[in-house]
Amino acid sequence: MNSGNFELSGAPDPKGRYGNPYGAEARDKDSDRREPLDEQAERAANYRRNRDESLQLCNDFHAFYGSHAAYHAEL
Amino acid sequence: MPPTTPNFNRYYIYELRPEVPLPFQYVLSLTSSELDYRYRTNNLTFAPIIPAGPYADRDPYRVPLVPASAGGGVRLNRRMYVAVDALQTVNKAVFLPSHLGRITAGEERELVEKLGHWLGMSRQEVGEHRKDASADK
Repeated sequence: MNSGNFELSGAPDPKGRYGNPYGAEARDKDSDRREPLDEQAERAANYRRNRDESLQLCNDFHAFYGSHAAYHAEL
Repeated sequence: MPPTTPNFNRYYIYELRPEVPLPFQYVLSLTSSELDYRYRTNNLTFAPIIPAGPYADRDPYRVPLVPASAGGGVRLNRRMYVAVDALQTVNKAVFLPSHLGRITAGEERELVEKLGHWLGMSRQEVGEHRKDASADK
C-alpha cells in the first residue's frame, strides 16, 4: 500500500505514536529501524479496515437513531 | 445474576436491550448518571465494544478489553475492543439497567490516552496548540 494515500487523506497520527507507521517521526527513522515493508502494508490495511469499521458503526447507529423517536415513544 | 443499578457509571460496561437493532451489543459508558436526580441527565455517551480481532491490537483507536475469565475486569465472554473513534450519545433507556463490570486501571489509562489523542485533547496536543497560538500573536 502506498503511504502517500494516507497523507492525502490526512495522517491521523502525525507524531507516529501508537505504532502508526505513517507518522512524521516514523518516516524520519533510520531505515534499519523501520518495519519490513510487508508489515507496514499489513498494518496499513488493518488501520484502514478499523477506520471503515468505525464508520460503519456510526452509520448503523445513525440509521437506528432515525427511528429512535418511535422507539422512545413506546417506552 | 449480574448486579442491577439505577445509575450508569463511567468506565463501566453496559448492554443494549435485546430489541435495539444495532450491530453491537455492549458499550463502554463515558458518562456518569450518578447525579441524575440532581442534574436530570438522560443521555449516555458511550463507545461501542466490538469483537474486532488481532488486527485491532495495535490500532491507535481500539482499546482491548480482557474478560474477567482471563484476569480482566469485565464480564465479557471473549476479548473485545472499545472503538474509541465511534463515540455516540443516546438516551439511557436503550440500555439494560445492569453493568458487566468496570474496566481495569490499565485499560482506563489506555482509553483516556487514545480518546484524548482522537479528540485532539491529549496533554501534548493541547500544549502544542497553545504553543502555536502564542506564536501567532
